[in-house]
Parts: sequence; C-alpha cells; structure tokens
Amino acid sequence: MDRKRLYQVFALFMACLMLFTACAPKTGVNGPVDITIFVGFGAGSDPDSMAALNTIAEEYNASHTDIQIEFMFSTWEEHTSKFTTLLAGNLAPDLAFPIGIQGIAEFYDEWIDVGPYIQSDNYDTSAFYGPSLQLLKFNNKTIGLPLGVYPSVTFFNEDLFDSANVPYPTQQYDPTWTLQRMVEAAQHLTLDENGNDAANLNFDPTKIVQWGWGGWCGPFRTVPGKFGGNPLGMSDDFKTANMNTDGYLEGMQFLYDSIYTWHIRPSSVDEGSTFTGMDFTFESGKVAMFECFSWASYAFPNFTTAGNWNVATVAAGPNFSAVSPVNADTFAIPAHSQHPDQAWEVAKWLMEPPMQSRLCSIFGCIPSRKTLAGSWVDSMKSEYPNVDFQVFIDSIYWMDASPNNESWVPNYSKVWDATENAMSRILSGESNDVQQVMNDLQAQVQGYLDEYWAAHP
Amino acid sequence: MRKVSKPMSLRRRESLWGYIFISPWIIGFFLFTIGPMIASLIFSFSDYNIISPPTNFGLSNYIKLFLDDPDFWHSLGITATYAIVAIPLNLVFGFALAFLLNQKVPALAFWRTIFYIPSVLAGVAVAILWGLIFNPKFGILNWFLGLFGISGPGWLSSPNWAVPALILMSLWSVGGGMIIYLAGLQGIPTTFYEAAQLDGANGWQQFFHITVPLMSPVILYNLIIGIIGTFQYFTEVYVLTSGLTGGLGGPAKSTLFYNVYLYSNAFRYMNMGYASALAWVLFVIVLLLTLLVFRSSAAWVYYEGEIQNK
Repeated sequence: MDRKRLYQVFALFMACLMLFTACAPKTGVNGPVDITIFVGFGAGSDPDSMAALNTIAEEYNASHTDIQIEFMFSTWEEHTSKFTTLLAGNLAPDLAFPIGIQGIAEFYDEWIDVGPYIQSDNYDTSAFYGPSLQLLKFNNKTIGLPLGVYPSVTFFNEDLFDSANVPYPTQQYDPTWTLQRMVEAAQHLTLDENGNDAANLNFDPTKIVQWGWGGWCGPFRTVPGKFGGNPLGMSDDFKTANMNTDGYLEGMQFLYDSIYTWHIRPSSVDEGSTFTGMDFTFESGKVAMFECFSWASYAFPNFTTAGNWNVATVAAGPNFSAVSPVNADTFAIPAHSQHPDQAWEVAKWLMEPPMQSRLCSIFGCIPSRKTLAGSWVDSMKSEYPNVDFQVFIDSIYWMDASPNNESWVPNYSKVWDATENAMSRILSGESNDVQQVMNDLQAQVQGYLDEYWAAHP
Repeated sequence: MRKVSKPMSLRRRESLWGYIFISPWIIGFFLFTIGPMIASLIFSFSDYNIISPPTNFGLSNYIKLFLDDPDFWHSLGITATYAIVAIPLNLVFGFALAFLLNQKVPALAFWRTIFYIPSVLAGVAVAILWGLIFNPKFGILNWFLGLFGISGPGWLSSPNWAVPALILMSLWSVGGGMIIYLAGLQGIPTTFYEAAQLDGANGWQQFFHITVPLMSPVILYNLIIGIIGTFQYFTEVYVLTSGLTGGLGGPAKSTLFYNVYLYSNAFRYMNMGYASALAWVLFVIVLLLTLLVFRSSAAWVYYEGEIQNK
C-alpha cells in the first residue's frame, strides 16, 4: 500500500471518529418540544415508580402534540453528580421532579422563580395548605408548587403500651403531651432482660431488651426547633453560627440523655446490631414509639408485622410548642433549561388534582391540595383500618415550614455533614461531652460560613 | 509529465501501520487519561463547581489544604494508619499462604483455588458480604469470638472499631498477592536448596537466606501495588458507611479515608477544584512513597542477574 492510500485510510478513520463524537441529540425545528424531567432528588427512582412514571409519560405524549415528555432517572446517591454533569455538559433537564427542600437547597441558584408564571396564569394557590406554600418560598423566590408533604408524627406500638399499662400518646394536638411526658412513658416501656423497666432502681441498662423510644428518624436539624431554636443554627444573615446555644445544645443534650441517662433509646451501636436489616427500629416490635415523617409509609407493612400500631401527635418541647418536622415534594425548573415555558406547562399538568393524587400514591406523599386530604385518609384507612391517619393531616398545620429543617444555608452540604457528624459522635458514644461536641460543631460551621462569605462578598 | 512519488521504505510503512493499529488506544489514552489529568491539574488551581467555568486561579486550594483544613490531615491520618497496618499484614499473609501452598500437600489445586477465589470478587459484593460478617448480633465473626467467651464489638457502628474492621476485611483479597508469590516461589531453582542442604542449612536458614532474598523482587512489586491500592481505598467504605448515622465516612468521621473525603468534595460539596487539588496531592504522595520504596530497594531487594554480573 502506498503512502497516499495510507493517508486516505487514516483520514477516513479520523472522519468516522469525529462523526461518532459529534453525534448529539437534537430537537426538531418545527416538531414538538421535548421536555426532560430529572427524577432522582427524592422518591421516584425505584423500579415500581419508574414504571408508573413512564406510563404517565406515555399518557401525556399520547394526548399532547406540542410537547413530549421523558423521565430521566437517577439513584438518590448519584443525583448530585449526575445533575451537575448534565448542567456542565449543556444537557440540562427541563424539570427536576419530584424534588424536596434539600434538593432545592443543594442547587439553590440553579432554580428559576416560578412566581411570574403563577401570576401571569392567575394560578389558584389557595387550594393548597398554606404552610406547604410557605415551604417553597426562599428570599422572595418561589421555587415550585407543592405536590405533597411528609409531616412527622409519633408512631407507637399499642401492644407494648398495653403490656406496660401505659396510656397511649394523644392523637389531638395537645401542648401537655410534652417531651418530658414522653420520656416518662418511655421509661416505663423500656425493659431489661429481667423485666425491670427503666424507672425501676433494679433496672440493668446493659441488658436492655425493649426500648421505650426509638428517637427521631430525621437529621439533627429537625431537633433544635423542638427546643425553641432555629433549625438553621445560625443568625438571620447567615454569617454567625449558633450551634452551641439554644435549641442545638438542648437538643443534643436530650439525645445524649435519652441513651445514656434515661436509657430509653438505643445508641447507634445498638441500632447497627440489634436492628440490622431494618430501616426503622420500630419494625422490630422491640421499640414502643418513635417519631418519623410520613414517608415511612413504605415500611408500614413491617410495622404491622411487628404488632398493632397507631400514630399520635409529636411531643411538644419545653416551651409547650409542638413542631412537626416536614419534608416535601415539588418541582423545580433549572435556569439552564432551554424550554422553561413548556416546562411550566408540564408542571401544571402534573399538579392537576387527579394527577397529583396519583403521583402522591407513587411517591408516598400526602397531597398538598386540601380537597385531596379526605381521599388520602380513606385510601390509607382501607389498608390500615386501625390507624388514625387524620393525625398526619392535622400535623401539616404544625410543621416547620419556614425555616424548614432542610432549608438553604451557605455551604449547604458541608454544614449538613458537620451537623450529622456531631450527632453521630453522641449517638455512637464517641464522645460523652455534649458541650464540647457542640463547641467543635460551632467552630467548624463558623469556618464554613466564613469560607462562603469570603467567596461571596 | 506525471510525478512519481517515492515509495516508502518498509521500515516506515511498518511504523505507520503500527501507529494506525494502536491509534484507538493512543487516542483514548489522550482523550480519557492525559486530557482529564491536565484538566484536573488546571482545575486544582481554581474555584470550580462543575456548573460554572473555573474562576479565581491561584494557589488558594493548596494553601487551604495544608494550612486550614483539619479534615485533610484527619483523612490522611486514617489512610496512613490503615496503610501502615494493612500493607504489612497483607504482605505477610500472602507470602505465608503462598509458602504453604508451595508445599506438597494433598488437594493442592483445590486449596490454591479456594484462597484465590475471594480476590476475584467485586469490591461492592465483598463489602456487602463483610457487612453481614461484621454484624455484632448475627455476624459470624462475633459468633466465633463468642465461642471463646469474647463479646465482640459493634465493628462498623463503633468509631473505635471501624478501621480495625476494614483492616481485617482487607485480608479477604490476600489471594491476589498469594498467586504472584506462588509464581515467584516456583521460579526459585531447587539447586539452591540442594546446595544449602549439603552445607547443613536447616529449614529456617534456607527460608531466610534463599527464599526471602530470591522473593524480594516479588515482595517489592506487591509492596508498591499495595501502597497504590491502599491510598486509593474507597469502594468498601462507600458501601459500608453510606447508611450509617453520620453518613459517608462515619461513624463520627472514623472512616473518612482520603478518597472518601476527595469524593465528598467533588460530588457532595461540588468543590471540584479543591477535589482536584486533593487528587494531585495524593498523586504526589503515592509517587514519593513509590520512589522511596524503589530507592530503598537497593538495600533489600536481590536481583539474581545483578549479583551474577558483579
């Protein structure tokens, strides 16, 4: 083969290579607009949900000619890296859905304000629970419309309460059902292997076989609000950390005491052993009560296996004020979207009452539209007739809407990890000096705030 | 008059064809290895959050890393602690296993296969398996300790035991090194041992004066591979600690290995510039350690050919 032929072969190879790498999806000039919906910021990426969402996409596409939708799925673990890569690659999705307050906070600057769309369409927001709307407003910016909420309630095992002859916690919001009363009840429900409860002088804390309380299932930022503190743990201008005072310190002290002083709650070491394979210690039938979000509904079948269970209100803090920590699902439109107007149209379609109900049944949320509450309670009741699901609805009015436990703070994920690590130090027994742990946290978070403001003067 | 091109020489034609055939690999190497390396070096001198273009070029990432980041030193300390214990342990166990399996024992092929198979399994599967083994209540490890009246700890949920647990787990893949040692052992000429026996050397003397020196190049190889692998330790921690209280690198940051910290910066905190700086510091550390080991090898590695030439 001569040199000329060789060059031709090489040129052909390079041309193929460039053609291959240049291939990219494109939207037709006059065809329907393709709207990509990113699923991965919360619920929706398990196989059943994916199938259900794809069915919804087929229905939408069959009934619309101007817009076609497609769901793009990511696991929760990979959502950050996948979403940022899409943005960096100029392949931004047009909607993030469903997305919670944490997802919004992680990419706070990336979401557009849908307030102008709400105004121009004269969209009726009065149909939603007021606090659920508050959840989505940050610094005069409205991120989305509330699809559903996940308020917290106290789950309790009726069988264990009956055995210990302890009255059930209240199912009506009552300021006298306090954390102190909860601790007293939990002590009677915590048993060692000799059958002594934690209020008994002969109780052996090294041989506990049943716990009265399983703790709060949420992150530590759900705790300070119960003690009258700000869940964000910093000043209003986000420049000064307040992690070793007010609700933060009291909340951490309460956690410490619940494990090592009152012995009503398993440590994280116990959780990693006795309760292996369970998402919630309550599933064991060895924990009398715990507080958690309504998204725990996926584990309700296991709760039922563990015994007769029901729900009560959250316990009020020392100032007799109840706070039900809440998570939420909404949609958000990325600023990098090429089709924000069409994305808004799709979002509105997803928020229509029948679709909202259907989506909440997929994700496990309580629809934020007041008219849908009754059907949600009925549908849950049909599966669990013993459980008072009205408590969940009532809890919506007690939720930590603003600021929420997942609301934005500077250097969001670093502050989040630092706070969770502080809780881990106490729950695991790595430290028994609560004040020191909170002082360390204070210094660390202040460093993150300083770092942020140095980069964002 | 038509110009006739001069035909290429055979040597040049062969070279050209050679380049054409390896060009897919070379192109891939430049696009997906060298390119990203250069890009990460540039990013390491900037603030880069992936979404926006890099800004603020300078040395700030490196200055912060060394002077103002306790987590950097913490993660480096955990990784170094793990390396100091796990690497020698793996070298000794691998060598000992290979030595035993180089003897004339019944069902030799069976034992070699049994000890090698674990090292073939994927890291994620191994981590899940060991998660069960480490379970304090139901795991086989604490059950075994219980036979001797020892109450086993909460291996992964206790900040004091998490790293020892991972060191123990590292022995699972000792079979990979064992196979290399075994190949080395079988390459030692039996004449050396015969001569030593004639000179009256006992088993220990033969081991320390023949086997170990002749195996030293293999030990050197396994040592370097061990250093590189240890400083890239990630998968097992990611799988085992993601669901714990305190999250990835928990409990209480006790398993915040260097690469876990690097990952968090890159994909949780979106500080890709800082993560790139961490990656380059890691590269330099591993490079220095490798050079140090190579330099020291002159004192303890025996090359048969080298001695014969002296």
